Amino acid sequence: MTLRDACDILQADILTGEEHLDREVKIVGASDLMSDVLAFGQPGLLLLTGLANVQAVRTADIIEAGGVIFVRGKRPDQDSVDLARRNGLPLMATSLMMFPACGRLYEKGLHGVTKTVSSARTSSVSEELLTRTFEIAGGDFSKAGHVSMEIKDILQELGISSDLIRRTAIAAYEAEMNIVMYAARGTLRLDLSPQALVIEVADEGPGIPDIDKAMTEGFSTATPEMREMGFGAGMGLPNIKRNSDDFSIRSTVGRGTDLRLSFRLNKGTAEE
Amino acid sequence: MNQYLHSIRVDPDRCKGLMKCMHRCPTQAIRVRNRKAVILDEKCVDCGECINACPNGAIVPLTNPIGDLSKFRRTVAIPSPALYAQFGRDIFPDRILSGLKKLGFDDVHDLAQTCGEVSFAIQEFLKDYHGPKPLISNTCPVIIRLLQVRYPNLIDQILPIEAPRELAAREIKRSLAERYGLPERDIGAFYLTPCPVKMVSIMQPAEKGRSFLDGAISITDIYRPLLTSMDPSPRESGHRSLENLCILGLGWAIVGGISRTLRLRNSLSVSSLSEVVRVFDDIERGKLTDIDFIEAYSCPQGCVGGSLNVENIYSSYNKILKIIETLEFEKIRACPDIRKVRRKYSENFFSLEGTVEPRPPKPLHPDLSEAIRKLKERDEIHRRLPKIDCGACGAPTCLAFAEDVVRGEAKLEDCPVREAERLRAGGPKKDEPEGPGLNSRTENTTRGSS
Repeated sequence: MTLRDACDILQADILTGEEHLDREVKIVGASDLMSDVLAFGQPGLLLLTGLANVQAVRTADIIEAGGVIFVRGKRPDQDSVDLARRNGLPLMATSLMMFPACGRLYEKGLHGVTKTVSSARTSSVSEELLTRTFEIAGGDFSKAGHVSMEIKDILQELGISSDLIRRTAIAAYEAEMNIVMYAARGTLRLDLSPQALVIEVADEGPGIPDIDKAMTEGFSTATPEMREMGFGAGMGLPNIKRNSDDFSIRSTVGRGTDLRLSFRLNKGTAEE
Repeated sequence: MNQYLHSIRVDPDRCKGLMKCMHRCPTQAIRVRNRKAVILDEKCVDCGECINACPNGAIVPLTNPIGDLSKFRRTVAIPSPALYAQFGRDIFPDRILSGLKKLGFDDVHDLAQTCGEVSFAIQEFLKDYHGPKPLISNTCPVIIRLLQVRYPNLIDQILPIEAPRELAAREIKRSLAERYGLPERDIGAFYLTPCPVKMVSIMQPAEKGRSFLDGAISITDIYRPLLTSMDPSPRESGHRSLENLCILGLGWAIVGGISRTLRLRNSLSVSSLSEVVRVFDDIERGKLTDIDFIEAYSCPQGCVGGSLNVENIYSSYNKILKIIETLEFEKIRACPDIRKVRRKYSENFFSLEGTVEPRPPKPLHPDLSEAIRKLKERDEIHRRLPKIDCGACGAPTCLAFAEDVVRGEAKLEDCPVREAERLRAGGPKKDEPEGPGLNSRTENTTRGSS
């Protein structure tokens, strides 16, 4: 089926891209959530959406969609149409609602995206949640500190207050160093929503036999070599706790340790 | 929002869009748009790397021409001690200073003296300092700007002692005004600068309303006139020409020079912006708290490495060291009286006026939800870019480019690698010139439903 056929089926107006209507359409996707479109989109996709703005056009362009049909009679503004025209992206608009529009195309033999999305976590949640997972290799001192710096850069881009960035960077760094120094490997996961910032750290390591003792400032099992490098002052876990708003720890000897630290974002973004 | 002034500008007539500056810029503050370099005000810290990088001399430092002296009834030159390292071994500071007088300055001031006083003042300050450590030196304005932009958390750790050049200007103007019965505004105090950033710190100080200096003249600009105005007479005995030189202050021209004078157990000296960034990253992660004082410079080897110097960086570093060695050997101790400095210190003579405010980068969006959305979009765009950081799009890295796209400052089709791949795959051509027929957009692009 070509784009022109799809237009006829949906009785759609053509807003721009007349010259590309002979493009073949094989796959259709329908969503108002652009983060989902980014996650499941593929080149040549015909996108049906009720989101009629420049955002939809840009997203379609990023995934290299074959065309976009706006449903429910919605129409994007002229800037969006211009952008699409410049990028060779056909835009159409139908007065049909989303479901019947999808239904008609399906009836005529068009199908949707069948692949299962690999990073289900990021695609299934709201647009406002940012998730990042970092792998940390035990014993790799050359890369130690990179994760906390990357987190700092992300938070700075988002306009998080500098005090919170500092606390997060210190806590993340200590957690990262604990994995580098003691564990075989581990992961650090950052979840950020407009309300809270949560860091979960899980390692495959020796575990901690006595957590209360480990949480005491000054207690350390660091070797002399680690101390030589400036670590192992027995400040790691207490420091993580002190810098986070909420802290929990679970550990199994011989298996590993899980940390969960959260930070409140009540002050939101920097205003200035 | 206030505009950030800079001491560097692009001369569009000379700029050929070669992107050398863009690749060298340590803060990714340069883009090349329409084949011309553009400096992003918010990100620039005035380090001057781009000046050295440009083969066409298209990046111009903004300093005062020597003709500006005529705007004042009386003028005083305050040369950076780095000037002392720009000439041959036999040319000692006294000859340089008298040469400056012949160039038209009414007075000259040996800044090494003031630097020596400030060394003592820092010692006093550190005695009862119990705040967060390490303290960070504040003589290099690039470092202050770097802290404002990238490490706003560390601003509290900036040493709150006035920089010697500012103190010197303040005091000299006061005393000359008194001596000649002139208002202070008739006295022009000019810093002879090894780097362009001092100009910004004069036009727009990071911490206070205005600078005590009236301008900065580039060492490069006065080098030739100074060479010819210096007394060609046979050198005096080395001892005579050195006897007024302060051994403590002279070292301020080179990295490590301040720390040397502080008698601290734990201090670090670091130069070159990329190295400073590594050290500051560590401080921000909560490390290096056992260090009392960090002396940091944007230029390699300290002020002798400034982009407006003439002499080779390492020879000038070495020349300063040699003079210090000679002073030690000759046991010349022409340093300020420490008791006087202590008294002045207790009268807040050295205290820094005003505070340094953070200058964090503009977030992707003021609203956090929207910013998160944009960050994800940026990463999605980045995922689809070649990630070879070729710079051909006009941004230094693919990530910076993705961010520019999200901020609406660049277009995805500016990536030539991606465009080439698209065309090879038979994709639609973008940005085709509009034919006359396409101008009547409403008729052509909209079609009634059939």
